[in-house]
Amino acid sequence: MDKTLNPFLLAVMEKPGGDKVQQCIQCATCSGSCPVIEEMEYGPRRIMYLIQSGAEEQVLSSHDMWYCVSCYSCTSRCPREIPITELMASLRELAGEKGYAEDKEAQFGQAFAETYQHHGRLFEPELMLRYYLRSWDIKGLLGMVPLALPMLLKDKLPFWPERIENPTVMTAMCQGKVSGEEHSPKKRSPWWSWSIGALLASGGAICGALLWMVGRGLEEEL
Amino acid sequence: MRYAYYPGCSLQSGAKEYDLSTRAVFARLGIELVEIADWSCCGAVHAEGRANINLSARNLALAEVQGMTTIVAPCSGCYLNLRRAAKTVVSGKKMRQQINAELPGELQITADIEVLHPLYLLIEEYGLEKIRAQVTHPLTGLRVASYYGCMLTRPKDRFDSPEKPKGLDELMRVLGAEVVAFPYQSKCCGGALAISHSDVTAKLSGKVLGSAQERGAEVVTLGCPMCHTALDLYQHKAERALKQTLDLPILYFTQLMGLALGIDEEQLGLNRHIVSTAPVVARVSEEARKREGDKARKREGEKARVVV
Repeated sequence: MDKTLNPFLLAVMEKPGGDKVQQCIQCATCSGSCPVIEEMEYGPRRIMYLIQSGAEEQVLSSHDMWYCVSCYSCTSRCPREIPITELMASLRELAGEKGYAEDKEAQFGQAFAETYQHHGRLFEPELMLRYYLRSWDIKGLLGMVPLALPMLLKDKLPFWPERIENPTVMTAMCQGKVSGEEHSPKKRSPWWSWSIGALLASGGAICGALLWMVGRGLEEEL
Repeated sequence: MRYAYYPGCSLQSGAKEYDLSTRAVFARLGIELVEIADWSCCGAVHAEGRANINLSARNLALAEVQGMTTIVAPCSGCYLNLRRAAKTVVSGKKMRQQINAELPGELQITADIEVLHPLYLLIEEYGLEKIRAQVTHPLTGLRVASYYGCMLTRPKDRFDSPEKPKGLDELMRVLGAEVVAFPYQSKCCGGALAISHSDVTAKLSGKVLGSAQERGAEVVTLGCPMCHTALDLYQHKAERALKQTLDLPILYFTQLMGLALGIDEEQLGLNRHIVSTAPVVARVSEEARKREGDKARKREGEKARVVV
């Protein structure tokens, strides 16, 4: 590979979606197609330029890749066929490796991966618990409170996790060659997080059942 | 027709109604779905690097163990991940070796495997005309906005256009519905940020729903559990962002199909929505009653003529 290229560009080019970064012609079709461009600091076009110029800190400390909604609008429209969505995922990975992953979405991604690695399948109550314990996103939590009751009443929150036969294969597969995992070896989830999850879930179940009974009682009276 | 079925995590919890209705509709159409035993999470958009392909590859290998060559994945996110892995496997011998080396235990992918979304399976492999012939309760007059979201049609694949998709609209017309065109049909709903940046989700889903309502839609139909969360569960947040009431029922396309095929409401999970689906069910049964009435009147008329 060309030794004259800056190290950050080289690091990006080694990641999935990164090999075509140099082909960007700055036409801005990506930024014009991005549904979350208003939330971004630079937007995909300037991110491309910053990668080419080797502005590692500027790129990885921005929150742009964490706001990417993976809608593939940029990817499907890019005249140079650069898989920008994939590149954004690679930037998230790099940000994690280099200690820049501080956005709430970064915390959510971590909590999500830990949850599916724990059971082999997702378990929403545990995901939420892991996320809020990790991020202390109080505002987000308060916003979720009004959703919790309807979700319980409509049976949209499972009380018990679905597990695959041997969930340890999940972590093994993720670690395959994922550098994010190599740099920060995954700690085993403490036993108490699991118990709190179970407690919360059963508490929720009881509340749900009570509410349901009250609801039925009222219905009968009416 | 027999396919491997990959429900994915959300179809087991929040989106159980999508699972129920997909199974019910496929059973009615005579298509057998065999759930992949011990399937695992595909990682959604939270699996970077090797994890992205490996997590999906395990499910492809499990389907192969069951002797299946085609997988049906109703969640757009799972569909994209599994399909990407399947394509990577066929992309070259080296890739296949690398993937196989990282698969747990004895699992191997030796054959090529196809991953389909139920919508395009119905259109391409089953055929819309065969569906039309089985419609017993046409959705006559129901103004439906088809919402494609992102990962069903992007990145570009052989099934539909990423800019102006039409598969869902075609299916809705076959069911007898009136399709409402709206400019946000394949714009993002922001579902991916629903927990971490819910204000963005509210803004984006507000745009989608506002646009559908403005064009006169009575119901929005889709085929993605993430989009369903953003448009149904978060609808009140979208209303606040838009500063207008929406009250738009959001139904999976399989639920509307189920109604049109005359499948019992309970089997379609229509009571599991946050925004009530009752107006849609009422419209469909009202149309059915009207048709019955018309038929009865016609019979009466014929009888009267015979008497005269």
